[in-house]
Amino acid sequence: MTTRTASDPTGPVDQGFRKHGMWSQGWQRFRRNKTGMLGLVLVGFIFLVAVFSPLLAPHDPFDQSAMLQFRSKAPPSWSHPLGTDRMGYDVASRVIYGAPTALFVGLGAMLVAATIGITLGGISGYVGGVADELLMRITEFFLVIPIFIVVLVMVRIFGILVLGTALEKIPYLNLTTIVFILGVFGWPPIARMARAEFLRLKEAEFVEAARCIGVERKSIIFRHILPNAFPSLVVLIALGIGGAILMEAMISFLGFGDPKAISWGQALYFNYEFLKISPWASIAAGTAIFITVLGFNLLADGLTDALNPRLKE
Amino acid sequence: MKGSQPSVNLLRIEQLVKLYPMLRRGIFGSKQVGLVRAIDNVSFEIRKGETLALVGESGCGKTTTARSMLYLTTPTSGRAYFDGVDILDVFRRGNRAEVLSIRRQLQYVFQDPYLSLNPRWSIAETIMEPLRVHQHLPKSAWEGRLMELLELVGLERYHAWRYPHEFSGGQRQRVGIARALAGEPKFLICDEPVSSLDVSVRAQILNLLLDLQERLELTYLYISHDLSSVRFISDRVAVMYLGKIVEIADVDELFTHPVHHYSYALLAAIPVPDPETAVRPSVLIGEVPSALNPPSGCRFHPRCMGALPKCSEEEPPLLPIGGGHLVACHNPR
Amino acid sequence: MVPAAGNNGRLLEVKDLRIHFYTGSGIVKAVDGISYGLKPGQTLGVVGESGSGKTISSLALLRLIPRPGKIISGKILFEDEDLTAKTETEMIAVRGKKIAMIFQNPAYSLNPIYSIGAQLGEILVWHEKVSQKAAQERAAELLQLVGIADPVSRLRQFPHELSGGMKQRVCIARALLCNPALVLADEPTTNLDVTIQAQILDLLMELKNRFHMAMILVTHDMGVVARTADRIVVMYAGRICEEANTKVIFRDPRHPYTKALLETMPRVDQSYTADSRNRLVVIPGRIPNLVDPPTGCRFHPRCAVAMEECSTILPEPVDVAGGHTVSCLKYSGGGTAS
Repeated sequence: MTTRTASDPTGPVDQGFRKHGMWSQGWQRFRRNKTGMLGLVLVGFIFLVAVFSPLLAPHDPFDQSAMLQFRSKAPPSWSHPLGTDRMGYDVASRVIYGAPTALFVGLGAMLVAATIGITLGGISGYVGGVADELLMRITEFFLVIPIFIVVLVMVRIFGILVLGTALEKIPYLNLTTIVFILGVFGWPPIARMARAEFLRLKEAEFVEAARCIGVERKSIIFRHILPNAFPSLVVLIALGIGGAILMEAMISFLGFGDPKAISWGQALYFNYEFLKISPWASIAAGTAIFITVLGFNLLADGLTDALNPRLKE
Repeated sequence: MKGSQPSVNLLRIEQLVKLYPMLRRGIFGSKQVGLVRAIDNVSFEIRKGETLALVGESGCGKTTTARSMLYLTTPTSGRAYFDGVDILDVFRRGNRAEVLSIRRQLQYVFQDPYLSLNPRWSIAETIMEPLRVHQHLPKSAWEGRLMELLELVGLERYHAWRYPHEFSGGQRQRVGIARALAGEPKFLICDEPVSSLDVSVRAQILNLLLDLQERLELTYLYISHDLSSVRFISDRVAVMYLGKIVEIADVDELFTHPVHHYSYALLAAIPVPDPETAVRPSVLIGEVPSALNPPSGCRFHPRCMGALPKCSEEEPPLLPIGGGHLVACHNPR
Repeated sequence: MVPAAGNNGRLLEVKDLRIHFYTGSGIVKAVDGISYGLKPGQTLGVVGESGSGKTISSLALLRLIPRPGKIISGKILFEDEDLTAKTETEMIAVRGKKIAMIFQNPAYSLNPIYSIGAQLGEILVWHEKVSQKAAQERAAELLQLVGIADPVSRLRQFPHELSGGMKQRVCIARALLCNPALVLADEPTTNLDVTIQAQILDLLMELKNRFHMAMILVTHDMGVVARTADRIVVMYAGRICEEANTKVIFRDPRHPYTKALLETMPRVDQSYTADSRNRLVVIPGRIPNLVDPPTGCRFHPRCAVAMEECSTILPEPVDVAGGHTVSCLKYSGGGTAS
């Protein structure tokens, strides 16, 4: 018999037009928004740096040879465009290789947060009742605890637990754990927004029309409600990415980060004491964080206008 | 169909009731502090091929009746028979195949053409969704059916791939009608279909509804507060007040000889576009009372010019007075 | 002092008013050259559908055109003064005091966080410079006048405690507080139930007669103006099609749009059951886009009797019979090429 998928109700005739409408309209509006475009440029730039990092970096980021030649903490020069840092690392390479880490953290954390948040918020908003009450209390709990401190504690505990065990050898386990923890603590705002959107859309007339036709609940949620909730959620997610990157930088700066990963926060941590004498490492890392987080924030700003034209009209 | 003599009851509503509990929310749960009797023992019949209008002002329960009938809201009690089948029972039991077969036959045209279409879907997807759900046509036939429906409601083929925001109100309403017709229903509830449209466009949609009724042998329940469109499109009219039906009559009979005092007041209040028409003095005082604490006995008695002492004690039943005319009044005009 | 030219006993004279909106998608010519007048104590009904410019033209009288709209040309002469030339400060003295407005949706035009008494009192204190106490007394007087029982306790209530009809009565009272010479009512009964609408219209008429106020009633409902207006102006897509006394508009409409509008409406006082093929007269097409309106007469694409010139020449108003003006090439020798 004919195969049907949830996203393709009609077959060949329809393909391409569905996505065409929602996304291309949004893109048209987005293009006109200068802040959004700037954000996109910045984010795009960071993406490219991350993807092409092996090609762009002048040196191996773990190469500490400069130290042997008494050239650590050296100012920018031809062989080291941004200078070297305290450990003899080439600053430029460390900053470049920090990009994929940052993106991994941001996107990874938000993936976890979005999955948890949309699921819980969606159920809460759609089903209501006791489930809603319970989920809202849990959300409030997560919102009032001092997240940052709890994260630090959990990271430290995890580090201690893993020490000396076989798990220690898994590359980037520490970093992944940080990402996961950030995600687990980052879901409440998304859940709240998802709940609000589901509550609103549940009663929308076109949803009622769908029920009237006999559309089953699963389809209503995934084909009607979610696509319409998506714009607001995407904005929060974009903001969240910037926030997660910033959080990771703070965690690493305080020394709780993954020592084996290359991150901008780490660079700040390592070079903190030499801020007065050889600031270029700190400045470079700090600027990188600034550009990235700014980029995502501006992107979120642009997306708000682009995906929700109602607000302006 | 207007002018003919239909005799088969397609839809029969019996004693439909919908109560909304008023809840006060606490930390651990909610307490009921009152009861809103949105519709209270509503009964009527619609014959095959005819158009019954449900009229009344805001809060009278006409939309609640329609939604309860289709189980979009869960009615508190009552029965609804469609073609002999107890549809509320089918909905309650929840057997998907049975529910779908009922849903295919009774459809709903929504009031707001701006809100009743999913803004992220092309109108082709919107119109074809019933085809996907009911599966009464093979997939290869869907596009053909889509084109057929577009033509039926007066839209062009190239409109199919556009999005709701690219259309005017009248066109969006046509899309809503096409969607309702996709599954080949027998019965359509039209809920204020032209109220949100401009005056110059209303005639197009009203004519379309009549054309479709003739062409596809449809039966309509037409809900509106705009009595002029009601007069045009209906065969019979039921007047509702505060959750109850107060009068049912053939359309011309109701408009020329309204028997219930509320019907009379309602008709007197309509501004007629003719400056020569004598303005009937507004015979209605006060406002519609809250449905939370409706007046005792006949719900209309506090505002009624013809109220008797009996009216505040005993609720008048809906009784026939001849010629298919029913009224619920102790002291009819 | 020599009275302003054109002021032949008229309270309000609008001359060739043009209002454009500068939007991202282009310039919307919302009102494109309208002229009409109003005598003291007269009620003018402005009838039109969405996009006709009826609401914007009345907002213009109070200089309340929202951005990105602007009055780009024309004059509004009120009591011999040109309102388009006034500064914002001068207009504040006019609004509420000389010209008052009643809006369509009473729920949105009352501030939900202030009591009725506070909102009404504020206006009196500001314009009439009276004490709070005197203001509250006058407010209660007016609430009584508009048919609200127990006005003193109502002053303490908040908008959400009142029904729609009551709220609109409060808005009417608010408009009358300073005895304005002109009241603008923008679809004052559209959001109300039919029986309440009748009450409110009765009230407006009674008050208008009692205070000899001039009124401009903006609506899309021909039935409402038939009942309340002395003269009617029919607008379409930013231009005036026809202007005449009420009886004349209904008895002898000349402009094709006016005629079409009257014919297309279903009527409560007419039976449709006799002939099962009975259909309403339809006006084909739809209301034009005001960024790029049709050239010439804006109604011509939908007009049953359009001639060739109608697509190039913009008709000017022509007096066809003592105070009855029509903007249609069928009734005039010429117009302006557009």
